[in-house]
Amino acid sequence: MTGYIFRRLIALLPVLMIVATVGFFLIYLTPGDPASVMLGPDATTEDVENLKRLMGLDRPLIIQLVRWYGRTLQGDLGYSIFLQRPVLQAIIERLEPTAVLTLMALTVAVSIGIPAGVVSAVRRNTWVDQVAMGIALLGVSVPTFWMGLNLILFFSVYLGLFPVAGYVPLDQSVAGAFRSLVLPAFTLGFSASALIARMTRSSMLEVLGQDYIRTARAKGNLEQVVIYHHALRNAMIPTLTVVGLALGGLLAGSIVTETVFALPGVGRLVISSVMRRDYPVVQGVLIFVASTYVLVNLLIDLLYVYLDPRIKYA
Amino acid sequence: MRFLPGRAVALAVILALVLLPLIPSAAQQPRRGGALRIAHIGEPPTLDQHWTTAAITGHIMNHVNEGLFAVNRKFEPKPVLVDKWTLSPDRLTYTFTLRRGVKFHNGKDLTSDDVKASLERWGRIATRGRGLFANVVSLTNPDPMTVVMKLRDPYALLPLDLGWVGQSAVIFPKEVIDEAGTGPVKRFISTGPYKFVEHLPDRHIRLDRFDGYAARTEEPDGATGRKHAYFDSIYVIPVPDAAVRIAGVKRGEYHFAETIPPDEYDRLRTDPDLVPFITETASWLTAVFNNRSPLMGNKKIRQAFQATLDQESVMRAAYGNPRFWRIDPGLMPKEHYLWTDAGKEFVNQKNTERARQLLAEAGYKGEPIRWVTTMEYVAYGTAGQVVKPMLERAGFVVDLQIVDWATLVARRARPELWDVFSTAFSFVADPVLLLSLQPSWPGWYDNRDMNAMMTLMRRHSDPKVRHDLWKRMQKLWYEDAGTIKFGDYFVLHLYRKELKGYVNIPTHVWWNSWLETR
Repeated sequence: MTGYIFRRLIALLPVLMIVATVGFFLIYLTPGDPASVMLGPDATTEDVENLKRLMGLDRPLIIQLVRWYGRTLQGDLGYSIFLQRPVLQAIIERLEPTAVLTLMALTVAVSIGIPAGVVSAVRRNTWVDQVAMGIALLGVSVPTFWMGLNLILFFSVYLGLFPVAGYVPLDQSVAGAFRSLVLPAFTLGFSASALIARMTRSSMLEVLGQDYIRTARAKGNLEQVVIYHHALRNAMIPTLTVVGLALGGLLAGSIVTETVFALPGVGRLVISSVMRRDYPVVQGVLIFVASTYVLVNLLIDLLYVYLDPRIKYA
Repeated sequence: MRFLPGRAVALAVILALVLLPLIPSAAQQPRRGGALRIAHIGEPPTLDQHWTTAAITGHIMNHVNEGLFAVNRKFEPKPVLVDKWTLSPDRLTYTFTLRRGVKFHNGKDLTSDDVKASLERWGRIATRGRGLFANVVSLTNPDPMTVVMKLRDPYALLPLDLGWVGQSAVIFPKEVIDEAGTGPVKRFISTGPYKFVEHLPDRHIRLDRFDGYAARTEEPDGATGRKHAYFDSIYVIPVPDAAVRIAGVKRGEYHFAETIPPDEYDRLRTDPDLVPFITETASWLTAVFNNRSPLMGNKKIRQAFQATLDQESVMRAAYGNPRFWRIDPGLMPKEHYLWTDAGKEFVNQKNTERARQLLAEAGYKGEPIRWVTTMEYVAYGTAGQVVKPMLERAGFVVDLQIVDWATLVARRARPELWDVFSTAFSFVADPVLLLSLQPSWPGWYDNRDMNAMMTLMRRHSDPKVRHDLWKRMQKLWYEDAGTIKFGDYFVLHLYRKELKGYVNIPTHVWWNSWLETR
């Protein structure tokens, strides 16, 4: 098992190299540069060229790539052009809202998605199933920004229950942080829950038709025991895979949600860095998100062993 | 006469009734304290005012930084850090005496060393600064309170240039400039009524009242005169989504929201807690021609473009409610003393036939006009989409390229990549500051007669002479179809009723404003 984990971690390196290289070319080949953004709309061409020279952006792309590799291999993700601080520090500063938001959104997604999927499967082809799957379809289809704005309108402006936007750091107030993230977490979690509900339903349907379920019922087990102990646990493996994917999706989805709710997280850092062409930050965040994605998948793979003891990694 | 208590009471009542309206009500008395929360559209690209022309930087840092001059509500320059100033009879030497007792936020006294270092830096890196310093022979500081600037040629607008709001010639302590080297300043220290406290990106920028502020004694007027810092703090919070900015002001989380879509105006004005505020100065929506491209370098093609336009349709599509736009030929806004309608016959022509004829005379053979625009500023992209069919009716082939703003700015610097690009020009205090007339600015409009008249505009200070000159310049600009001005537009902001004393000319002024207790 330890060997497996080690091999998976080693395999992370080429993934990161590919992500980083493709990311480097994508961002550098996109027109636009940080100098013209920094100098503002009325700057002259001469001013922009001067600043680009100062920033070292006039050098050939390949030299910039080699320099960047050199730094990154030493663990230095570079220095943000606009934030005037190391990229790693910028990411760490933004981690708290994104991490708390992702956890809360995942909680929302799982606590809506799994029960809805189970109920739909058990009561398949009844109105309960149709309503649950109808809501799931809505969750997948509604854009997060639209959902977010409507939640703000209803729960913040009309009912005054939650703040409209912004984030209160945990060290200032835990309750404040929670309140500021309820609406964004629901926005993000609701769309992810839809996917989880659909996967749980189909997986449960498959399991409920198996012989061992019939045997469990024949033994006279309570229906709840059959469903939650025998069926659900076996149906969880595909669901867990979707939860893992959803977690990656939550990190990516938070770009829109963090922008709508004005949350100072990693997603917002990505979008503002892309808009102002803060190359080192975009690169750094790409590596960070790719690593997180790979590590989450590794964790999910390890959880399979817990759910199904027949699975062994050599 | 016998004194009657009843009569005295009656007299007192009458007196009270007469005098009461003359006493300002308690509600209108400025109140010290509280924190102003401003929801702005995003993050400033930098907080160094010497570096950037971005308006958002000025909106925030004008409260922290001060220059030698600033402009009042009539856009006239008035002294701020200068006490007295003189101009030599040959109009070549400006001598500025600084105000005594002015302190920086770090407690240090303002001296001529700081002013000299700041102006030299501004003259090195700011676009307008470099333009001005090309005409400066020497900048000296003979004593700690005096700065002397000697010019090569007379320049009537020097105080205005030093006091203008965009990319301002603000004064930093000399040590701040020394430690910045060739980069942006690292500490934000100046002499303004608020001091910079912290910048937490995507969270807020916080300014606090500067208790050591040395206010002038003149009445407040625009960005000049007495400045009071009534708020304990000002928070500028980046809120990118306009709907969220509106919701935040409605809910009372923010007191002020920057730039609201004009379509919201009718809905917001019915809310008794809110003040939808239309800016008093106009900006103009424009399509800039590339005078260095083979197509738009051809005057007849530019004129054909100009002839075909239905500008009302463009402005209606871009800004909706007619309260927010107007068709006006003046390159200087109607409110400015130099306004003229010279060249009005070239505006809103809607003359497709004439456009066709001009294209035929130009020998245009259907080469695509590459028009670079963006939906990041919706009005720019909308204008392109509305004008495209107008041009096509006249025989133009239009390649409308919608890109993000950073791409547009990068592309416009390279003349081989475009023929037309979309942007907007904000209000400037004098025609010499108009970007579309600068041969060095993308578009590269370069007309010998125009340049000669521009030189005269820089020299003369007599309003009559300048007005005559400007009429001729504007007329020439329209004849040349140097750039297209679609029309003036006004921006909508939103604030809560308890915010009092807010001033919008020359730009956001939140000093002297306060929060009324609710």
